[in-house]
Amino acid sequence: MPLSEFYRSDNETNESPQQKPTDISYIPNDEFVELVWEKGQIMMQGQTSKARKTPVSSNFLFHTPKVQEKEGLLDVPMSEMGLHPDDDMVPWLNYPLDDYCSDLLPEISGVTGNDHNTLNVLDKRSSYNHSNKDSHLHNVSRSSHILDPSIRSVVTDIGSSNCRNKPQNLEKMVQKQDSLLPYSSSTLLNFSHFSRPAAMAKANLLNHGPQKENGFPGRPGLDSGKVGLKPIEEPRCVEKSSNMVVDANVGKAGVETEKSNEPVGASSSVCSGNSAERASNDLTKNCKRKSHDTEDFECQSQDAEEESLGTKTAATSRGGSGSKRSRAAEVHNLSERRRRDRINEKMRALQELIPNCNKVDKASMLDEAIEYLKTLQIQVQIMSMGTGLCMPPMMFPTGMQHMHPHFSPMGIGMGMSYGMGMGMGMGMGMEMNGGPQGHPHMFPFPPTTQGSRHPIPGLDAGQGIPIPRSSFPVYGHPGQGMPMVFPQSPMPGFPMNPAVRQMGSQMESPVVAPTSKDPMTQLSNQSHVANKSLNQSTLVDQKDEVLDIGCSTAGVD
Amino acid sequence: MSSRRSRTRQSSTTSRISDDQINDLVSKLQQLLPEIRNRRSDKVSASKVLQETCNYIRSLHREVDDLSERLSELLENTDSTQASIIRSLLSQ
Repeated sequence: MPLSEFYRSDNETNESPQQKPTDISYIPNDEFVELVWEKGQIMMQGQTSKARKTPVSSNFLFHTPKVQEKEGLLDVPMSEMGLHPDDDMVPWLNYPLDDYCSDLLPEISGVTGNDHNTLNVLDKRSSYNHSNKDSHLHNVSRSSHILDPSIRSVVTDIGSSNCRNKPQNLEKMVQKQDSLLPYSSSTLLNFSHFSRPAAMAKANLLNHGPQKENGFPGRPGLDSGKVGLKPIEEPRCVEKSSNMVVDANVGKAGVETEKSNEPVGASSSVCSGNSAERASNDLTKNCKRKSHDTEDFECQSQDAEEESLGTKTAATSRGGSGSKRSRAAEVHNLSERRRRDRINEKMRALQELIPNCNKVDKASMLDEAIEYLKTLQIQVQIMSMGTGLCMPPMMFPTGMQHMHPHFSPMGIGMGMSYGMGMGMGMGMGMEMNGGPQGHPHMFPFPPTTQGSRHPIPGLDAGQGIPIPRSSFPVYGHPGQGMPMVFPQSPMPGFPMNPAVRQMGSQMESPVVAPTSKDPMTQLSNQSHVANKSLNQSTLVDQKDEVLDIGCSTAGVD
Repeated sequence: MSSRRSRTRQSSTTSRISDDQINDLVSKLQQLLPEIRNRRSDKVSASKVLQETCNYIRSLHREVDDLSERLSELLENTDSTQASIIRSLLSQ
């Protein structure tokens, strides 16, 4: 539709606010200020319409807020997205906004569609206005004498509607815009939708940047009031702000703004009502979805954002294909950054878990983590062996020792002698079968220089094989069927000196085994798994083992 | 090994390279995790691996605590020779 028509309709619809009852004089200034900024950034590159500009600009400094506020109507759904007003934006009012004003003015036309809706909602909202805090008053008075009545009423509407920004209302409004508005306004709506995501980004940046710096201490009461009224929106806002501020999107937001404006011009002047409406429908859906997700997690909000970006991209392709590629790059960047954020978060968690880890670099962090993990596993293994030493559950087929003779000379005791080989076998076996708690207790054992080696007593797993020391506890694994006899087997690589052997035989005595039950279960688990994983080698040596049982303490010599 | 490589790569900087190297390390890490070690077929995301690592380290910590408690209990009860063996074993 031609721009002239556009503006005409705009003017017509702008009349309606003038006739609205101005009973509500309280203007929640903070809200409209925020809206100002949303639009202010977006409209930066707007087309020109002098007709509108002239009367408004005469309003001194506040004309900007007013105008932008009107435009804020277009974006009412945005505030639902977490862009709800911040008091902190107020200081911005004091800056000369005239520059924006001229650019923003043409966009006022977009207000037309929203004005209808505002009228619809006005009744419900006016009640809230009366309950506004006194803190609004000074601003109200200021703006009221500057603004002419008609505009003020609009402002009031906007402010009130913003205050009440329930998702349902907003959805309704959006729907109404789509369904009720005449052909001409649909393109306008399209425009407003287009500009939304960009505006959102901008508004976040601008809102929260100053928020942090200025702090605006004067109005805690107002803040609390707002929180009470809009519990849903609060978290969203914070989340959004953290996203945007942390990510320092400024440059990107600027780009988005440009792009979003680009297609707008095209659609308002060229596009058929149909296509425009379709686009706006898409975006409306998007909005609805967003509003439903309000409490959702950061990632999801980012998802929604991304989606909206995607939708925009699709719509933009009509206007200019050049921006499409960069848009896709942006989407990719977003997802990539999200991924990195997640990973970084985990990295930090990991860093806390690793003692003495001062590494900032990810790679060395991971290195450290790997090393630490190995250390921990070994530690657990050793400790479980230590507990295992006191009960005689660790029985291994001698075959294992034969299989790894090169470790033998350095082996110590029962743990060490089957060190590497056995640990491997056990560990693997356990992990294969392992449930969540299936941490291998047996791990590759570092060879040690301890020369002691003691005979490991056999453990009968239910087969009734005679055990040299009758006092050994018998762990009931009836179904196991594998005799866990672990006799002293001839180990050429294991010269045993008598002293050590004696120690070994002492070890055999089941001094503490029966005292604690937990270790027993644990160890019985181990032996169970060990049985499975080592069946074959055990079978091979079984005969020898049985033969050896009788002289298990005798050693090899 | 991996640390040396990471250092060399770091010198050439840029995130692409460090991505590769981190993927390397993450897959190494994955091999240490019983939870997801056997899931080689499906792609396990880095954040998943890291999460599992954290969980696993925590569980190992618990286990170590548990075991050390048990060990100290045992050492109290056992005769000195046995205790010394265990100690020597643990002190490596």
